[in-house]
Amino acid sequence: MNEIINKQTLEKLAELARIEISENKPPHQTKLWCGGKEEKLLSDLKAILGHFDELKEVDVSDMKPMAGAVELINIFREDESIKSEAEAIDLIESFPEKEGRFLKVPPVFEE
Amino acid sequence: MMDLKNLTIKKFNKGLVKKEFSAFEITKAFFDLIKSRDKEIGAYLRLSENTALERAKIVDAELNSNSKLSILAGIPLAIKDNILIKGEITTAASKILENYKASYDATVIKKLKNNGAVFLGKTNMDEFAMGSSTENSAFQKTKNPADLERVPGGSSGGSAAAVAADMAVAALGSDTGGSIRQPANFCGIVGLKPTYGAVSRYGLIAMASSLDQIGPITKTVEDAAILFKEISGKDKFDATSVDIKYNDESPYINYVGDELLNPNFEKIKKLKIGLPKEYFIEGLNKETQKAVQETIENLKKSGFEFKEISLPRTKYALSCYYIIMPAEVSANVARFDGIRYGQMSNVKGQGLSLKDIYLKTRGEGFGEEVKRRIILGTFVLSSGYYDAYYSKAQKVRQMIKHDFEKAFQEVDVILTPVSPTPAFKIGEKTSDPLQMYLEDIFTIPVNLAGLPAVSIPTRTKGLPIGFQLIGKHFREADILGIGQWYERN
Repeated sequence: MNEIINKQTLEKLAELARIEISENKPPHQTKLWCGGKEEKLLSDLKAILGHFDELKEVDVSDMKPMAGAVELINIFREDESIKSEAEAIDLIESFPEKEGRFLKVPPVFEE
Repeated sequence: MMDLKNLTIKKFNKGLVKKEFSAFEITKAFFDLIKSRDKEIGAYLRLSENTALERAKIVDAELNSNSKLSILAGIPLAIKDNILIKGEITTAASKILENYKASYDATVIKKLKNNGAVFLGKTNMDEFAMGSSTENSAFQKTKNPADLERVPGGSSGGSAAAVAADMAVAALGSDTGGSIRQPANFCGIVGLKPTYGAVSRYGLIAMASSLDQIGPITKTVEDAAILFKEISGKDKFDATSVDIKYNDESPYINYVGDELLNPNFEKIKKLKIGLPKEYFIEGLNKETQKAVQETIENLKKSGFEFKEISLPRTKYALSCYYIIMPAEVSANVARFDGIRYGQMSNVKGQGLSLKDIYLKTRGEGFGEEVKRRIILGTFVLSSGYYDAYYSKAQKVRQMIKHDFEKAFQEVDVILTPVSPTPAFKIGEKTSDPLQMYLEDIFTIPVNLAGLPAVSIPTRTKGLPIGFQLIGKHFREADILGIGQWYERN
């Protein structure tokens, strides 16, 4: 399973996760992961994924996947709005960029 | 004037009520100490002196008007920087949140405020709580007060160092795979990871939501019980929180009585303690082995009954955790996109496309460990690998939980070491992530199973070494009961 991740997979994953890893970008754009950093990340990931190989030997055929730490079933409440602790004005205040009460975002549809 | 060195919640409360000192005086004294001492420790990222002194004055005024005060009134606390306090910068020690001002109070903060607690400042941590040494903070290193060349542990290293260096009476931390217990262990103090659901996570910057819990870091087990009691309980803003005040027929004994704060030691001494053979392994450091063994001998001499047990799937816990946790991380930190939160200087006013804003913001804003975990999480969730990794890990998690359930049919409490070694040197493990991950092999299974566990200092000389007591779900009273018995005898 060690070879399951290579440079191409890593770059694809980084793009999916929207994290720039910079070696194939012009170097002036970012300081991060230039030089040996991408290689180091790749070798770290290989070591970590290699460690996971031990799970192959575990027989889980009767097991149900566990998604939460404490099993809770059907927690109902009235279908009424609950006032949030946060006031809208304080949330708006924390926007990095805004126009009036609106969050300013870059164009979403583009080539 | 009270000596800050041995000041506990209990002692502070007694002194305050008897008017031996005022909350204002003590708070002032803490800031004086922090200003000189924290230069070499680096526990705090930010102080809130004015707000803290104002709050202390209010407590003093209430005391003088003879109103009944909470046991937490005026208590100077340190708060880990991933817990929101309204109006205060909250960064989770990440560059991406460097300028983020919290818009609301976390539920635990609200509860503490209602009890009159005073917040001295926000403490350093590994970025987004990802790490075991606090070296992953984007802002500063924190040193272990017991030995300045060593790490305080992590990720709640700042909170643990603050309490251990007497720069706070107690603190809050968060624990996803050991982040309260391991730093408490390294710094020689007490750290409680409550049962999953016992404490609301509302207002905690999420790392891995099925594993995270907020809990107390304190000088004594008694203080941990006091603080836990005040912050626990169901919260309408956290659907996974649970009301632990069950009725008497419930298998969980309710906390309405004094079980947490005034344990019945005759009952406590009848609890049977399990020793899982998988935790006393060859790789265990000799001093750690010796310190934990001495604690076991002492408890045996005092009449506690021990039994060897087995938790056979322990060895798979690390792999299981490092699949599930990054998967949840990759989803949770997706919100830090440079638009709603965390605009970085390199994207401002450059007319970049949306995708480039994401790439650059996250490329610059996150540190290496955070990126590593996001990529790992993205990988184990990606199509083609989901079944082999994520789904498999969820099933192994179930088996690990079953191991504990089976063990708890034979014993009431489980005793183990907290970490394989005492505090290591700064820089010793930063180049090899897998080595760093192995720090948490004895604490991770507890989070996977959602159990409560406490780290308590042994009486060893030299570097601090603790032992871990693991309880049944919602039986904090058992582990804190044995802990309180231990610290009195």
